[in-house]
Amino acid sequence: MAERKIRVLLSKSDQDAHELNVRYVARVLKDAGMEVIFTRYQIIDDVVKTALEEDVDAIALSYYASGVMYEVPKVMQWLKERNMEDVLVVIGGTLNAAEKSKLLEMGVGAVFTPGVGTVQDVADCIISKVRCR
Amino acid sequence: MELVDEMRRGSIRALAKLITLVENEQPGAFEVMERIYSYTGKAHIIGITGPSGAGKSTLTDKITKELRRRNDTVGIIAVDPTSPFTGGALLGDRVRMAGISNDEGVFIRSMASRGSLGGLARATADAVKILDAFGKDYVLIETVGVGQDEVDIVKAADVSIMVMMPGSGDDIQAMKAGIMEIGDIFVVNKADKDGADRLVTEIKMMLELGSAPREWTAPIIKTVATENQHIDILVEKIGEHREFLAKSGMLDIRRKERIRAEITKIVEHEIFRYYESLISENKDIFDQRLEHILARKENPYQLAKQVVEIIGKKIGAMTRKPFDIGAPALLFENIKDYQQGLLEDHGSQTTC
Repeated sequence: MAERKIRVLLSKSDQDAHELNVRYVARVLKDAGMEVIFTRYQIIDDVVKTALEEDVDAIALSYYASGVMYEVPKVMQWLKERNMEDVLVVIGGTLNAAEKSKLLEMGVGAVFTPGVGTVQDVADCIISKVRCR
Repeated sequence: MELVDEMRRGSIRALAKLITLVENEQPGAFEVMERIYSYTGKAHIIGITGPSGAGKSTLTDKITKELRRRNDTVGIIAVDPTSPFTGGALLGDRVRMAGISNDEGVFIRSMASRGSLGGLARATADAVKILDAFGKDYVLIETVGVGQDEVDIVKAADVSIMVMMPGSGDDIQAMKAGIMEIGDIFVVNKADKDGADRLVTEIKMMLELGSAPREWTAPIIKTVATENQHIDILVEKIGEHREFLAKSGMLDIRRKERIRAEITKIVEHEIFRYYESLISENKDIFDQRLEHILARKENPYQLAKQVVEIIGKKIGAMTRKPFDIGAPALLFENIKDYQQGLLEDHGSQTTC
């Protein structure tokens, strides 16, 4: 029996003009066999509604502008409230070490910053963490 | 089943989980579909298809906004192709539906075709029914029309909308004749571009050249979806078509044909699964036989006939009766056991 497909919500803020990297991530995830639901959110609330409807295994958010320390805690809180704590959350973007450790503390599965590892690592990480849930 | 009750009580989470369950053919999927079937039949199903870039997603977004303005609730299934090489998919239709994405009255689900040759995911029809059972007034199916897709969507929907755009290089002549026969409403989107009127004329001509005249004359509507132009007219036409279906009795006729096609699909799929498991259980022997055939020591037709006989006997053994077309109830009961058995045998292939 074939293995279940992994569905990932890959999203970034509408306000954030940086999109090329996210599109590249989408490509790599797709090439790794995942179903990638790509969206741009106007407010962070949209992300959780989308994740709920699409019944995703993972949420991958990209931050090249500010907002990460304001938005991610909200996402983690909502996932908890909606009984969706088994959804893996990974964050990518221009974050410093302090932000990275705070995010990991609040339950984010992995944080990826430029220059550390490759986009393929993101794909491998999602696959292994989702399959071993 | 708890999930079904929860869904019927309005839980979005249950609705989403049920769609996943049937999409992945998880244990219980058959029972879920059996359970919800009596709640279906109320939603009006709109199929939206056409070449990539014609503006289907934008159109779906605008049609939905208009339906919401009229206080109807909407379910949307957006289908995109699965890569035949990697098995992955980029499901990007939601991007163009940002406006309706946070409307509580709208449920959007992206689906990958997962190898289905017809372009519509195998589970699309099931997901449509679940949205219907949930209580959605309208269910929109949006998919790229490539090859046989168009025909698929026509079977799945009450009304089929074909979306095209001027200058796309698609010569109408080059398009499959089938589309012209089965579209209920034609939309020339991006009508502000050069060649819009010419495309309308071409479509008109093709429709006139088509086969026997139908009671419904398919309208051709020019729209500029991004500017919401003529969307209200399009929705009016959907309404007119719906009235026509009811008055002419065509709704029941089409739905009966849909049921017939669905049953065929389900039966084909279930028999194919027997075949798949038979081959995988006997991989080495099968491979040897392939070598023989390659060497012309035997022919493929013999092998195929043998396989069919084995499958027949296998099904017969499970029902403890010979493979008799007069025992369909038993046949399906055992499919559930068989699915459960398959799951137990094969389980998960990952080690953590």
